[in-house]
Amino acid sequence: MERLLRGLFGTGQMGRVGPAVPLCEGRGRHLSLREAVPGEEEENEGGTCYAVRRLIPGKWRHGGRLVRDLARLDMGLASVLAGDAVLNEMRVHDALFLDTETTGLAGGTGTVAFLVGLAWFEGEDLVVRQLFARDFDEEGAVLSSLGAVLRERGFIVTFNGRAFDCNLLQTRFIMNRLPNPLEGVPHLDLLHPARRLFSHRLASCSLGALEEAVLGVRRSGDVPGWEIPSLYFRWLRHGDASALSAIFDHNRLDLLSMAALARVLGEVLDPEGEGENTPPGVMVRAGRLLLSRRRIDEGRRHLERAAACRDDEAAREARRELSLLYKRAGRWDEALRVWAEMVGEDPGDLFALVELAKWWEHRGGEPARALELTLEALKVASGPSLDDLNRRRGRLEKKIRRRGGEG
Amino acid sequence: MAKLTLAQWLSQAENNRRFMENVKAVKEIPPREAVYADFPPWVHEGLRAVLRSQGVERLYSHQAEAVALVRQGKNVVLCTPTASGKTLCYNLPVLQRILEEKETRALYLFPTKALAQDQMHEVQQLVAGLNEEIGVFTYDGDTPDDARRAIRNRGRIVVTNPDMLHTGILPHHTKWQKLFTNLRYVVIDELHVYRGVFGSHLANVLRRLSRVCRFYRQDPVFICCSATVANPREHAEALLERPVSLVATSGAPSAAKVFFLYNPPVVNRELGIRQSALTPASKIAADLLENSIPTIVFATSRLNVEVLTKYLKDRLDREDPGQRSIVAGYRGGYLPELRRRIEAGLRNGEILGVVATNALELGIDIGDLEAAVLCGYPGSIASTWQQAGRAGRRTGLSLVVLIARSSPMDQFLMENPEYFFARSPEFCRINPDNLMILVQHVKSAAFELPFEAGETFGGENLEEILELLEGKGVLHRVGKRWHWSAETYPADEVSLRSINPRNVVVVDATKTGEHKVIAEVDWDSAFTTVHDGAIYMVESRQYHVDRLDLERNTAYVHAVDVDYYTDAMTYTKVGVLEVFDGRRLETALVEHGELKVTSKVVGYKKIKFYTGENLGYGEVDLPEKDMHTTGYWFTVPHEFLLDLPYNQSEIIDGLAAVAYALHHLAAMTLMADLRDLDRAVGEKGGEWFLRTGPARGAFPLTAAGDAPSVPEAFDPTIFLFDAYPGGIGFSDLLYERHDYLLGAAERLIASCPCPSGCPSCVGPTLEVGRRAKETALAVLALLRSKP
Ligand SMILES: [Zn+2]
Repeated sequence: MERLLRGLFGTGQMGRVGPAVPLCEGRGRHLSLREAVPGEEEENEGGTCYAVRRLIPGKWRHGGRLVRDLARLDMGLASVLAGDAVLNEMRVHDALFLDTETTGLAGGTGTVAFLVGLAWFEGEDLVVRQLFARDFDEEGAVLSSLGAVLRERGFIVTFNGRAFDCNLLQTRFIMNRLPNPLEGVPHLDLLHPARRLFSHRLASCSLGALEEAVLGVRRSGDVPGWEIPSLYFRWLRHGDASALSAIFDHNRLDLLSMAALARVLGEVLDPEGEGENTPPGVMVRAGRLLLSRRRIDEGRRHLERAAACRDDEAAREARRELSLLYKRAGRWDEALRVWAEMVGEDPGDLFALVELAKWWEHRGGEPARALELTLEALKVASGPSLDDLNRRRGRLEKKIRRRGGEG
Repeated sequence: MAKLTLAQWLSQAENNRRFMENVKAVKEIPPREAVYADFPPWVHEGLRAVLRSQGVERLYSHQAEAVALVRQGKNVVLCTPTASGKTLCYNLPVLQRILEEKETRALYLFPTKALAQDQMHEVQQLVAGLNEEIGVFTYDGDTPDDARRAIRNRGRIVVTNPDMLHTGILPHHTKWQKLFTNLRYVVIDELHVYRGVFGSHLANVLRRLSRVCRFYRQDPVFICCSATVANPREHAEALLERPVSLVATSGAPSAAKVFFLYNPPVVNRELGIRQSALTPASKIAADLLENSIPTIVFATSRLNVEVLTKYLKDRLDREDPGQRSIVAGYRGGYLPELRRRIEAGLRNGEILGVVATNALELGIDIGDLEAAVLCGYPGSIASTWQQAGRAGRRTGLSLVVLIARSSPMDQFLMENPEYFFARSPEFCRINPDNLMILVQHVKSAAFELPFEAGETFGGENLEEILELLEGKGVLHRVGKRWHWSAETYPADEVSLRSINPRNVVVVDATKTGEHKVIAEVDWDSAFTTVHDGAIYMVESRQYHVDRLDLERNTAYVHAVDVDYYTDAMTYTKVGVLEVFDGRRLETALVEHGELKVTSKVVGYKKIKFYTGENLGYGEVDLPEKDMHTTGYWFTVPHEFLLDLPYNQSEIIDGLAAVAYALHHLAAMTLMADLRDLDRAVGEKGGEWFLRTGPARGAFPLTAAGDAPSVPEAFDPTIFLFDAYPGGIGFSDLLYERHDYLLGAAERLIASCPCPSGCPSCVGPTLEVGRRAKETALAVLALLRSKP
């Protein structure tokens, strides 16, 4: 059988295996885990695992910000980010930042979270606790420990946790026959609001891309995420911990960046924030996000600020949103003013021309004026809007004829 | 001209002397009366009412027997004819249990998505009458992502296929927690389909299913249905690896059926060539269709489907232009949308005739057909009855015509009709411990749940495999457990249906800038069907293959209209890796064991439509394919052969001829598909191989394809081997039946009416030479000589 198996595998039937880095080449000696990543053994009802605790002091900087400043996240705005009003009743110190390192991205029951990184604020410092399964049999202890930490906090903050980390942990709890403590816990997944606010400016909305573009963080010597599984497998097989510290560092930076990102996203939503730093395009999106969460007043203020910007594209977008907001609220004077401004700046602004035509037809009671605007709009329109405009023109002309007959 | 009814058509045919001359046997299968039983007392009143509204007042006896066994918690395999109401045997107990315990779940497995769809509709109809919220869903590759979560949580009956269970459900079992913690029944229909490689895979998928069920502390009851095979219970127990009760006596009524065995006449007595089966098949089918008798024609290959469809359309067009649209081809490789359109056309009567491969032999609903024309023996008796069952499922009288090809199997049936009508059909065999298959599933199983020391998984030494996989770095052992420790998703590396999951798409590049995918071909057949220069046919349209790009898995073709089709030529060389057992006879050494088989497509023939004339050859440059498998072989010392009064090349022809006859007889003896086995003549060390065909001869390995040179001295070996990597378990059976096989081969060749060899005994003389029959008999006499 041995040879038949070899024969079978010799023809490339086996999946791609093995570490991406050469094994222990050029290294003098193996580092022990304690040497590479100082920490301690933890025992709980799930067994034993390895736990690392680090305190990131409030006076440290991450990107352009002090760590203690990150703790000033406004919970009202955090609830907007999460789309969950429950967060309104929580404190920033109830937040548990969570990020896992896993044995792969394939998903399914064969992927394990071997490192669960957790962080929370204590005073103005950020405490990071990393739970590490030194081998697969320590997973139960890692999960139990996660449950214990979670009991002390009120909600979790992740980056793409809904689709990935929490999904995977759910599977791991079932596999270990443990109840899932994450179930029903309020969850702020930063990926979704980050995407809504920044995707128009970034090619990718990965945490790394956001760090560079939004947080002003540049990592050096960071281990790329795709290499992490093979480094862990190398540790399992050869017991060499020298590559592990890079994984712990990577995970800790992820947690820190999540805390920073939460703060920045909150800032962007804050109409009282330092507006000069927020690009107008982001401001428009912040306004939209607030509006979609029924925070009309704050949303409007963002749009008003963006409308006053020099950035033509963003200003136009903002004005458009804003005018519709006024229109819905029945604040016609303000809506008219915005449309007039838009046409003033660009006499061929189709949106504004159409809205003005509608107004003069239905509310202003001057079909001739409406017709004039419609004819103006027809010069720039194309596609399906042409049909609408022609229909409007026909209707207006009839109206005018009828009136002429009356008069 | 007035159209005939089927009964009139039959009586006319029976009075037609020229037609009846070729009919080797007529079997009239009388109608059978139903045997009923009452509903068991436990059946829910609502369920009874629904069934009554569908016209089911009582159960057939086999249904009552099956549901009673299931009720007792027994695993059941039901083996009754087509259209005997098998689905009720599982739908009744499953729905009953759901009505009693709301959370009950059941998993239904069908071999194809189309069958799963059909079954879902059938159950939904029952449920609709029950006025209960019982979710019945299919779950397969076509299920939209946003529906999946709801199906996982709410589906009471989930209808899927083994492939989806393998790649989509088991590796994600935690997402299916609701299903697995409440799984009471697993239904496996069309059980006989799961034989050979597919069956060996399924047995392993079921091992994995059982492990996952154990994790959720469930032990579901299995309900299986099978076409009539000889060993349904043994086969079910081999697949499920647990005791199974058999229900085999049908209480269902059946309609009368007339079965013709038709042997096309010999057209060239000297070469022993019979008229192609395609000719009478298209003639009979066209005649039936012209009388508006709905007819299905089964062909044995995709190629023949295309050829027959073209013949039929041409013939109908000649009689009545515009009639060509009442016939359609139907085969694997057609895109699903086209297949659905043809199925609907058959049901609503727009299409009266269909030419199909066995893709249609399973229970896809295509309405009532009155006649089935089987162009060639489908390779197994179970398939023959299934195909025959497509005609007259509900109507009063039906007709089946089985038309023989010149293959030894078909001819054997024509000469021995009682073998077909009286004897129980073939055996399903699987080899779930085929190492190649087993190891792949051990990987998937470890991905699903870590292996514990002392656990078993099939018959092989599991720990040895786990250690090997640990050595390969995909498993990691800690304490008493082996965990999956790789980034890959092992189920994606295995296709249950073929060894190689790669497919080749066929792209029509006739119009530049408007490339269109017209078909898909599996990797292995791509080498013989879409090589450079091949004529590929879809819907009886011809395409010339301009280029087969193996790296892109694409064949580029353009539409043509030519009067020929192509047939690929391959060579095979075999080397012995290990001998499991052997015995020395007077004139031969007989052995079985492990082989390395290398095959290569070297060229192709162009064959003219209708005449079958050979129009020339083309060369093909494709890479070799390697396979490790198990086989049986025997070696004849060359000094014995040198004593025969023939020259070297004649002896080589004789050996190829013997191998040809043995191959066919072995498949028949094992009741296996001819394609499950393969043959080769060569040298045990793999130094020489023999090539048949016009450029036939013995070739040294080093100069493969160059000028033939006759070996000074080597001991030729005839190999019969499993056509699947790792072997399917046939070879030791063949080894044991060596003497029987030689005797049967001698009888077959000696009793064939041809003068010097023909496709029915030793192969076409063009390929094996003019003296092959004579030399084959001499070689066999030598092999069978007793001291
Ligand atoms: Zn013959």
